Amino acid sequence: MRHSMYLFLILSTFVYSSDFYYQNKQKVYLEKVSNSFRSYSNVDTFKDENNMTFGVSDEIVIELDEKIMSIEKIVAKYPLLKVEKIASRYYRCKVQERSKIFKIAAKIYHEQGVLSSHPNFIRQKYQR
Amino acid sequence: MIKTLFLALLFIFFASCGGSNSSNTSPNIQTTPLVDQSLLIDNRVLTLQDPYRKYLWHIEYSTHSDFNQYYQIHSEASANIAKAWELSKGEGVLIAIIDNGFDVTHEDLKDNIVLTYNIANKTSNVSNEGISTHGSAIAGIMVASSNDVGSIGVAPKSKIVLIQDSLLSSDADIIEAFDYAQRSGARVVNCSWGTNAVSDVVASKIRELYDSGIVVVFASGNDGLSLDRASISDESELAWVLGVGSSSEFNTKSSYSSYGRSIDILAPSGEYMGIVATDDYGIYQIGDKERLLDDGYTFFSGTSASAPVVSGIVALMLSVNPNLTPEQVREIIISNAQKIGGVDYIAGWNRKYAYGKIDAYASVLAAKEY
Repeated sequence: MRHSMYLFLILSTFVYSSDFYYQNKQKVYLEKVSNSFRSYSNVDTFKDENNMTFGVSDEIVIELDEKIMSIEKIVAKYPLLKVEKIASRYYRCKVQERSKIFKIAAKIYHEQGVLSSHPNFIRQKYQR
Repeated sequence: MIKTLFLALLFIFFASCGGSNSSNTSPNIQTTPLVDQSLLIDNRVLTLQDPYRKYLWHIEYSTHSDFNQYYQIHSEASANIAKAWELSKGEGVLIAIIDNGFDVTHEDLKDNIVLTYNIANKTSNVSNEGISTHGSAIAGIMVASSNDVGSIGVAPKSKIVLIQDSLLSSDADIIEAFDYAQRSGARVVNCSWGTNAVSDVVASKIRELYDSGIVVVFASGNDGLSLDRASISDESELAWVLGVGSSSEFNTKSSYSSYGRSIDILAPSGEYMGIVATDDYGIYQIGDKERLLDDGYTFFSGTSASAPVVSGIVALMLSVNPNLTPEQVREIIISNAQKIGGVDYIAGWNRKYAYGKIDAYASVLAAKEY
């Protein structure tokens, strides 16, 4: 099962031309841009269709309906290295291959009992 | 059979005990809070005569006529807070502040801080070294002690938990911050920041706080534009937060205050003349140029400063009626707002002025009688 998942992820790189994630059940497409956050060494920068920029490292954040899905089942099925529970039903997970982070997050999103799954975006917070 | 009946009665007994205990704080908070409730009791008799009271135009119309005239303070520009102090000073309520740069030794803050947490290093160490003092300023507007020095906060007897994070935060960090606020036992969470692009997981976590009886307050932003643009999905627009804009010393909407369909209320923080806050960069602010304030204080304008005015008023409301839900708090605030600015309010609402300016006394009184 795990091998077929790897095969799917490899093949899927030829099918999809853009990175995307799910927000409010809609696909949000992102474009990689060259500048990086200076204070993060392991972060790529993306911008969305509205020119909002986000940092993306090798982490995804997952919200579960734990009556239906457990994090153990997710870990058993997908190439995740490290899992940290950050709050009730919220998990921060490292992926094995950073280049496939969007695809892994999107696949997990479609699992029953997964409420949210997307890269652990790094955002600029604006003091007001 | 008798054993089963006994067990059922035992269950009912313990269940009823649990309900009784929880109703003393919030009916919806399930777990034991990190902050012991005894720390929220403040039996001090407050004189409310701290030296900078004469400059607190957001609290009441000052008796300092020169100050009013020079800075053109409108006689009705305040949020009617001094009168609300006749009903409550915020006793028994814990407020969480998620922000950046806290001076925990400040003379007007230290007595009301009961818990601190740093998201970055998972310790209790928070500070303002090498970063701004934005968090200190917010804290002072909200809960500066009445201790015969400096200023007075909107809810001077409420206690605060300071949660420090970075200006570059991951979604997981933000979730952790809200989770800590929730576990602390706070009934109000102040957020004088925004990302313009809230994620699903963060929105869901904030909804969880709302459902557990916690009022989350966000500043609307200072670009003076509508938040209803397609490119913006800001935290202050979420249906389960109080979105706060700024009103001016002229008793109008501040020109920089962002607005939109989802913003609920305005609160004073000024157009040119800010409101007194507790921090150290006052030399750049109007008022300090005339040397009105000592080091450690400033006049601070912006929706960042308006949000803690609302958070403090919510604390006053919850102090007189701890059973209010966030939905009821919002309903009371918007139905008791002052319709300022000489603009039309259709069904009580105006596109730029939202439901108007918050009225502390009317809101606390309505909360008490709710």
